[in-house]
Amino acid sequence: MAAVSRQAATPPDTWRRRVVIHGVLAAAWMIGVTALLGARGDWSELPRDLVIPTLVGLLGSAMLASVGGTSRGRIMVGASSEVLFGLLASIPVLLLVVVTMFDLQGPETPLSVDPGATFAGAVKCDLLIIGVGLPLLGLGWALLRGLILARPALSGACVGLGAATWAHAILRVHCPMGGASHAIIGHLLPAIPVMALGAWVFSARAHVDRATPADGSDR
Amino acid sequence: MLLPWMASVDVTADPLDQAMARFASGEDAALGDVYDLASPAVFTFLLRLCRDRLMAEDLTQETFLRLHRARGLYRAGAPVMPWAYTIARRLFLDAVRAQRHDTATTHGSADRGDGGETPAAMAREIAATGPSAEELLADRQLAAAVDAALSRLPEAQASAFRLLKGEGLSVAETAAIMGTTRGAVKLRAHRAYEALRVLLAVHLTGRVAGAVVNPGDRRVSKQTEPPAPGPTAGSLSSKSRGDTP
Repeated sequence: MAAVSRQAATPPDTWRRRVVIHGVLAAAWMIGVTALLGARGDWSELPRDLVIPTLVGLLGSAMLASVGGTSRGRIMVGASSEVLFGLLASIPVLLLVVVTMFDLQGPETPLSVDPGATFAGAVKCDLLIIGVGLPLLGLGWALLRGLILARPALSGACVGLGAATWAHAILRVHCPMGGASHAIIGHLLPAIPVMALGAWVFSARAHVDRATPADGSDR
Repeated sequence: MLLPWMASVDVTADPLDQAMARFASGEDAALGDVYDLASPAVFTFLLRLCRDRLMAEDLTQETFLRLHRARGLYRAGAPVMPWAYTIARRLFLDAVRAQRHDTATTHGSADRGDGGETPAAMAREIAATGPSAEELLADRQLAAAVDAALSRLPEAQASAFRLLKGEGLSVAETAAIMGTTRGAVKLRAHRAYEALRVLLAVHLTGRVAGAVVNPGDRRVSKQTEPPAPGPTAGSLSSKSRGDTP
């Protein structure tokens, strides 16, 4: 332990500083993407009684999943299994309710009538949600570096669900397409690969950490 | 009402948690206190999991390196031991996965028993203890039998038993360490009690009565005939039932 003792002192409040830094980076990424993509043309004309519940539901779900997935937990090993299982079971149901009760009752666009165009639009939204969500997943992964999680796969899936839901909220402002098929295939389904990737990356990280030389740094 | 200079002193807190808080806040010298206070329990826990002293020593060092790396993430006031046990268990599982195909090494180390003590060394120690040698021998044999029985259980059941009964942790803490729910911990511990009851009955009565042990999957299955109700086995049996959470 003598070599360990020679390491520099740890600045206090490392966790708080990490959360702030990663939160600012995530917010900057999401604001940048939102500005880059822009809002749909008829955004200002959409009925507020549908838009507000949709965005509140999406942003609330994203916040719950992200906070639950990146929580240190009571003993610094991540959130408890009950919490993670509960979030992973309830948030997809909540999203489905938001999408079917509010989002899909918005104005139908002519594009949704054409199956080919609907499919092409869904693929575009799939790729956008995955592309926007992956950096957020990476930030969640970086936030938890150094911690050994009791259930890394569940934590990773939860962070992935949060990342995909943040991206879903951004895309909801931008995407001009309506219809149940588009909302489910183009906006909800891409959460599955992001969740799976999160679960895999967080699980694999434990083995990578094990193989990393013990240099005593915070990395 | 506390005076201002007393406000920062929490006399009720665990010394280990206090030392970890000092270490996490940048006082490097506190690492020695953390190590001195926590390492014996971590090493014992790992030794009972590994049944290999060298591996346990290696994993104990690795556990403290992980604690050192993650010191900045320590939540002030949080209990250190469950955290340390979680890290130790994860490291053990990773090591087992890495060596899974190397069965010869595993069997070789398992045969050594707890602490790697030889019968001759035990006999010398027993001889040096004087009049209570027989009791000491019986205790040693019972402890060895419990360890041997635990080593035949699935890791999840054995860990639940050891954390609850060996380390004295709560069901909630054990669930957090094992990354599972409280209900699952209770179920695993209950299965461990049942399996231990059967295995120890077999050991203490010296005959296989109503139990079939399948070393292949390290599970114990009961047959229709119950274990022979010898006096010692009966007392163990009732104790096990009473311990069920």
